[in-house]
Amino acid sequence: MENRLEELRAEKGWTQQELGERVGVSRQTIISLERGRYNPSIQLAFRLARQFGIKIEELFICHEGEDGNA
Amino acid sequence: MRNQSSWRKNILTWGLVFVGLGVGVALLGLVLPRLGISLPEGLILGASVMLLILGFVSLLQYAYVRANPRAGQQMQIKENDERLQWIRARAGQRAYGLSGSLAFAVLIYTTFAGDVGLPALSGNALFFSLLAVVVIPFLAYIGALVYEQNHS
Repeated sequence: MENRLEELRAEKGWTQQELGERVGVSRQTIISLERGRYNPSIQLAFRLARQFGIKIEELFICHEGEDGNA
Repeated sequence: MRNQSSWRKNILTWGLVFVGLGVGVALLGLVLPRLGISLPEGLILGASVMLLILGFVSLLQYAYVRANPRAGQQMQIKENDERLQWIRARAGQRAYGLSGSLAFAVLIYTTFAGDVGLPALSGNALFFSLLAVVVIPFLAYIGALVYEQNHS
């Protein structure tokens, strides 16, 4: 699953730490999300999308046939 | 996520509970022998020391996060971080599977070793086999935690 987290975070001028604090996760989790190594829960995905004021599907792009966390 | 003051209160409560239990167990160790009930001294001492340590660690943690709200916020985030919880669950699942397999293997061996002419597990061999059933899954858990931290 791809996401636009890094791009949108940069636009807002937030650090990974700052974004993590805003949505209640660690900086390491933000790093993993940005690198596409971790897929968030639906609650976290909503919290992230809300932070950027966009819809989940605008933030996360899930291609057909993709699984969850391996 | 709970707010920080209720999270802090929870740490304080557990600290007081552990200290209370530690003092209670120590008092039992002192009082019961005088009533003619003998208890293994080492066990009572060990249990009360362990409970007191757990209690004081929680109380110290409470004092620290109260004095440093920012550090407390970071600790709370780490404690509730969904990726870390997922990693712990995954590592635990692996350790549980391994533990079940090892326990089953030791059980089958001790039950049927005699029937097929294999040396029976007794004394030290049995002790170390049981120790391995506990220690190996624990090491696997730690290894899986480290691996997942670096690969997810």
